[in-house]
Amino acid sequence: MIDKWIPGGERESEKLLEKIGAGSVEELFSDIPEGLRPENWDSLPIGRRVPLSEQEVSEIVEELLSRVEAYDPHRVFLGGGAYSSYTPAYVDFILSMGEILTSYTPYQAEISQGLLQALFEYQSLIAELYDMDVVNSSHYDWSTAAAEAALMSLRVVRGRRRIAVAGSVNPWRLEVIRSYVEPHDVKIDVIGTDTLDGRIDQDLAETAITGETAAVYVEIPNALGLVDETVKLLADRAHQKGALLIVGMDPVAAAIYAPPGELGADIAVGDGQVLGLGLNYGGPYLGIMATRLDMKLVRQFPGRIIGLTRDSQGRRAYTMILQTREQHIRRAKATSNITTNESLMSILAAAYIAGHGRTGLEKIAHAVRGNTIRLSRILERENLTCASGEHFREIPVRTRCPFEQAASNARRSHGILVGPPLWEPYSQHDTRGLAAVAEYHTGRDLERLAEALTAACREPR
Amino acid sequence: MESGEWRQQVWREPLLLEYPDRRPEPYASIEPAAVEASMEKPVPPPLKRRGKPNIPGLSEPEIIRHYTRLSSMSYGVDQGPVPLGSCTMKYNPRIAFKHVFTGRLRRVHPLQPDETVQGLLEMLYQLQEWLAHILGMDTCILHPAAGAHGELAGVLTIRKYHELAGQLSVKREIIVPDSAHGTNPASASMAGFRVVEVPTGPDGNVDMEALRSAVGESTAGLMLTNPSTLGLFEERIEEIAGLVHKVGGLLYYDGANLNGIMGYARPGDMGFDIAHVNVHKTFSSPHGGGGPGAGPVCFKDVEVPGTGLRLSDIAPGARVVYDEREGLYRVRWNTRGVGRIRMWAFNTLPLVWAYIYILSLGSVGLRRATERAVINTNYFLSLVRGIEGYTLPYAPGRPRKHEAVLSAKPLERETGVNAEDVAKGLLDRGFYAPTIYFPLIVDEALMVEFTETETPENIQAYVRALEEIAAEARASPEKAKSRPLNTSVGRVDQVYANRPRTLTPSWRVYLRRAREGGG
Ligand SMILES: Cc1ncc(COP(=O)(O)O)c(C=O)c1O
Repeated sequence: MIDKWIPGGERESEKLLEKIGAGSVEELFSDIPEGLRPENWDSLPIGRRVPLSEQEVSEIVEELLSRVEAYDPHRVFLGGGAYSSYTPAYVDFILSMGEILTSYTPYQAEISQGLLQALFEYQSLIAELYDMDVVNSSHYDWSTAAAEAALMSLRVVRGRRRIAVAGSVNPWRLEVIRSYVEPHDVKIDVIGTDTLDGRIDQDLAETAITGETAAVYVEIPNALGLVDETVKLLADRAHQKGALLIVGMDPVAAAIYAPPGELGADIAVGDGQVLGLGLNYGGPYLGIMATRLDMKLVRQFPGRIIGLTRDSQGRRAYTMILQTREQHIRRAKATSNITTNESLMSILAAAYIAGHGRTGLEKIAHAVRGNTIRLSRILERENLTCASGEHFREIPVRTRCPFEQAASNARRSHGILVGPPLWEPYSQHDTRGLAAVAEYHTGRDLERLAEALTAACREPR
Repeated sequence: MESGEWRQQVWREPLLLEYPDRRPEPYASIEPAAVEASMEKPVPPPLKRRGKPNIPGLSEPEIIRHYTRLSSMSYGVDQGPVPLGSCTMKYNPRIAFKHVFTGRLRRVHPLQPDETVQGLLEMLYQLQEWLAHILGMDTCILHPAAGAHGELAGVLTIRKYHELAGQLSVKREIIVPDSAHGTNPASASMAGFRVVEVPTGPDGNVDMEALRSAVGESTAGLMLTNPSTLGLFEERIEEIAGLVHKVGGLLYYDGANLNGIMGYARPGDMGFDIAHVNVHKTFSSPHGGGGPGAGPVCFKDVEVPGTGLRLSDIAPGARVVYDEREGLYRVRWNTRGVGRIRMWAFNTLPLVWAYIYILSLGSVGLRRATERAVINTNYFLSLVRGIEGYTLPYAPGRPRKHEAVLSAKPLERETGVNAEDVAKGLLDRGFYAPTIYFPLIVDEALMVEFTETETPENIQAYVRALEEIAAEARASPEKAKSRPLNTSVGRVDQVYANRPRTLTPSWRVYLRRAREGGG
């Protein structure tokens, strides 16, 4: 294997050493103190110690992968922030195109126009979908985009040290935001919500958002799947108090619901994972982040941005812009430390969006919404829910035994994945969890989920 | 363009947003009843989207042609050398691509029970163990999504360590050398530390005098990469570690340059307490035009004073552990420290790529990869030495490791042709340019890293190109400064790109400005 990736292998290495005039490879490492040399490197248990043939590697990996269960997508209702969607074959083909796959960050613009254009298209498509102006060419995931949005708000609204967060946001995302802002002496005020569906309590919002608040963060739909109509009130309240509004939104939902821009968001975040990028056991996903074209915001915006410009002959060209915000120039004063991001995923997301167009995306969004409605009707009929109001993609489920037990039985007996269980204050004595639908679920799939959940609590554990 | 020279393709390819709308149907199979259920119960007006996004739908042949054209106007390792110093752009083996990107992993949900993903967890567990051996550390966490994210994980851990030890009010500073990558100081500030820079001495090592005066009671830690960004091994690393440890600080190792020392030195043995690796550099996962990557971070089992906890217990994220009793691999989240710094436990696909890469090579193969990478650097230097116009600042007699940093300062002084022009000249000859103007301590820096996967012939050709460029700079400097001429566009106007009145970060901004008659 080794000779295939190191042209000519040991033989060529010897020849090159001779050309350099080095007696041995050792000479090139002579400045590393003796005492630091690992004595028995070659026998350390790293891989199988020696190089393997490609076939051996393949066989080992295939055996390991055979012990990874990929479920029938029609039986996957697991959500909680990662969702199934169909990945068109053309998207996977674009993923394999070597000129993009194996390229680096486009530091040299003239030779990277294709890559730059693809990233600019991603930014432009998300700008359309979110109704925002400026989009960066990605963060690690929604949670880190949200966390960096919070940090950005502290730089834009100077002197304020509180961030108000709707209690209904995804709890893991909230944990990430906490990890990021903790070093900056920031207090997070969690806005109380209804314990059934997570609807924001406007009185509590009033008290949580004050003249000390730098930003208000809310998600659409919320972590229980509710598209909360009170978000608009929250936006007004935030702006009245001089705070920024950060809206996290499912990009598919943005095709039919009021997008961040229409809600008055100053910063929008989200995850492109739902745009056919796959589940990937948690990554790579696609952290989306956008803002308005207001230099007060843009100067504090983190991440890489591609812009449209012209070349020496006036032809259309693309390049990285506003680099003075970034770590390689601004170092300790940069707007973020990010450099490697999820560019490839952003290009795939753009390809997915373009392959569907506005009308196709709307149709997918309606299918997801329609399936949410259909599932909620079935669950109501089976007395398996207690949610009301407008839901998208995800709804709370109530089971007659502990939800975790029900989900585990549903998996064992029906090959169905559902969940995660809800958390405090929404769990209602551990009997509630979430179910997420995809655009492709059929009425039969949804019925099967209800059957499985009903049966699951009848079976002994 | 000049005859006989390489030439990149030129397509006047419209943006996706400029195509006519073909109104395609979704690729997923959608039951009409699903859409009807939504139509029968319309979205309540206050929640409804009002404006229509300008997103045309393309047919499949249009999309494939679009990206085929765009890819022919891009340049990756698959076309030729991308000797970007500090980036370790090695070949990305297709065997890993096959298993990582085209298989069942794409369909595995991060909340699937551990029992259902045992083969995957076994790989990640082994990867943790292997990385610990490679780095000479005790415990690895695969959570971070990139190198800079690993740095953040590391410095947040340093912060938590001092906080738990009750000394955070004193430990306010992180020391970084002036040769450090920008992410180091940026990560330290993100973790709420003050950054103290120390200069590099003429021998390319950290200036010990300056370091001694910088280190003190307020030192929370030091971030360093070794070999440095000059490609030089920091010979006094043990002394540096001693200084920092003596005042109760921790040492953080930026693993971006690991490709220069595998088999010859390990950060753990040098005295580092925390280290990250860049899976998308050293372990060959493709960089995808900017990402994805992964930045596993490894720890010595240093105890947090008075807590009974180890560094890895207070680090962000999750570890894969093996439960002997159950005979199962388990994902275990750390609950007593920093808290998670991304939503899910792992950026899985690049990590599995790294697993396959390390499995393929083993300890012996990794050592050989490092050896050839270092041989390639020094072979390049042996050829480039003596070409008028370029020098090798800092200890020119010392061997370089994974990379070398040339200065084009003499050429610039003589002809006005600077490092950026040299870079553009390389593009015109069908190569990607080196990293330029970094590290900041080298004037007109050209930072070259070929990695072990480059051929001797390409290294020779690269040197010939540098020679040609220097000759052209003398013969016709205007020509040298007008390059590139053979790429799909000419020199890009950076001023226009960044001026507030012409700044165009998205197509809608362009259209709005066109409507308003500005720009
Ligand atoms: C020396 C050095 N440190 C840190 C980083 C940051 O790593 P990443 O790009 O994976 O975030 C890089 C590469 O960009 C680097 O070259």
